[in-house]
Amino acid sequence: MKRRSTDEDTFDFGARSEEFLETFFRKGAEFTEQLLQEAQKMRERIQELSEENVQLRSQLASDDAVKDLLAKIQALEEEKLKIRRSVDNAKREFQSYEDRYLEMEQELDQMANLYVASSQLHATMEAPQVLSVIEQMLMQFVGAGSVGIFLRGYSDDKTPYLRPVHAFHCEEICGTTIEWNVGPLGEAAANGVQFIMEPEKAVDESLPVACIPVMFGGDAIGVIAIYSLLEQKKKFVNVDYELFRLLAEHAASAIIGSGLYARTESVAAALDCFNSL
Amino acid sequence: MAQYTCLIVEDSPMMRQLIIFALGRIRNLKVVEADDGVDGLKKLAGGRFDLVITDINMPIMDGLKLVKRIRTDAVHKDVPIMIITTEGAAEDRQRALQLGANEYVTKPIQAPQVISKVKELLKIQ
Repeated sequence: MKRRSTDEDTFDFGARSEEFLETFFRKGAEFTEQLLQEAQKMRERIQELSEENVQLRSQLASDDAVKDLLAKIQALEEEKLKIRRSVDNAKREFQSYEDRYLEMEQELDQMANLYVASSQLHATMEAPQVLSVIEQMLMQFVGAGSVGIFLRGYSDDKTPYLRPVHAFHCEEICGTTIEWNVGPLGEAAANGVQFIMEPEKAVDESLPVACIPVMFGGDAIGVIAIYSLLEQKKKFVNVDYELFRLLAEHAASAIIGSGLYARTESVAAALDCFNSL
Repeated sequence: MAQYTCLIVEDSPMMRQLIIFALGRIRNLKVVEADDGVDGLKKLAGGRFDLVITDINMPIMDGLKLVKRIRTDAVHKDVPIMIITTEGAAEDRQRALQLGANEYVTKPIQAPQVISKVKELLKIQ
């Protein structure tokens, strides 16, 4: 085997090492370049990630804020419901107070009417005035258009009947007599029960719409009849029935008292009669 | 506090009493009573009134004549007038309002209605 000369060997080695170094440095430069590029990419990615992170953090924070706000809204909604419920309760309570107030006002009006009627009924002992007060009471307070007052009389055979003693806007009743227990007037007297008809249902104008027996000691001493109502009065209301009851219970004593008083000459004579009892 | 004076002209003592009872619910309202139109004019001449309430059907001088007289009176020509009457026909109402009445209420009265109209006429809240 033939061996190469040393010069040739040296030459080859120098060239190869140079080539190696060149390659080495070129590759090193390339690698470095790649590393730098990679590092740049990494930096950019880090930058992106940190930006993303900031965004996520802020989103998370805003999510929390939204959660807080939702919770607050929920709480406020509940509070609103509570307030609405208490307002509704207060409204209901107010309405019930208002209704009660109206009821009280109506009751007060009724009491006032009854008080005035009763005081006026017993304010006089003059018979014509007592009858006039009854007539006025029915006209002014009830709205009666025509009123007749009948008292009990007896025929020769002791049969009771009704005879008119006062007529207001129904003068046609004067001089007539009503048989006991016949017709609404006679029946009201015989039974001591009020006869009251709804005005709009009245068909026969000659018949009364209300007959109020005037009671004394369990018996009727007469009957008060309402034949018609004022144009504006369409129906009877509660206070009217109360007034009818008052008349049924109190008119008799006023009428009988005025009749007895008429027999005496003066208040002093009437007092003497009382004192002699 | 304002003090109001109201003249009630009504021949029925019962009705007067009832109106006074109702007006008793209005504070600072003083009431003077008269039996008929002539008596009403006398009472008007003797003082200053903020309101007149009158009936129509009365002896001696009726309510409509009274309204006419008040509207020509130097002192009281502008005083509000409320009529409370049994006359419920539309033409009666129209006639009274034409003569110068401010309110027309028919009997039987309801106290809250009268109170509310009186307050309105006196401009009381």
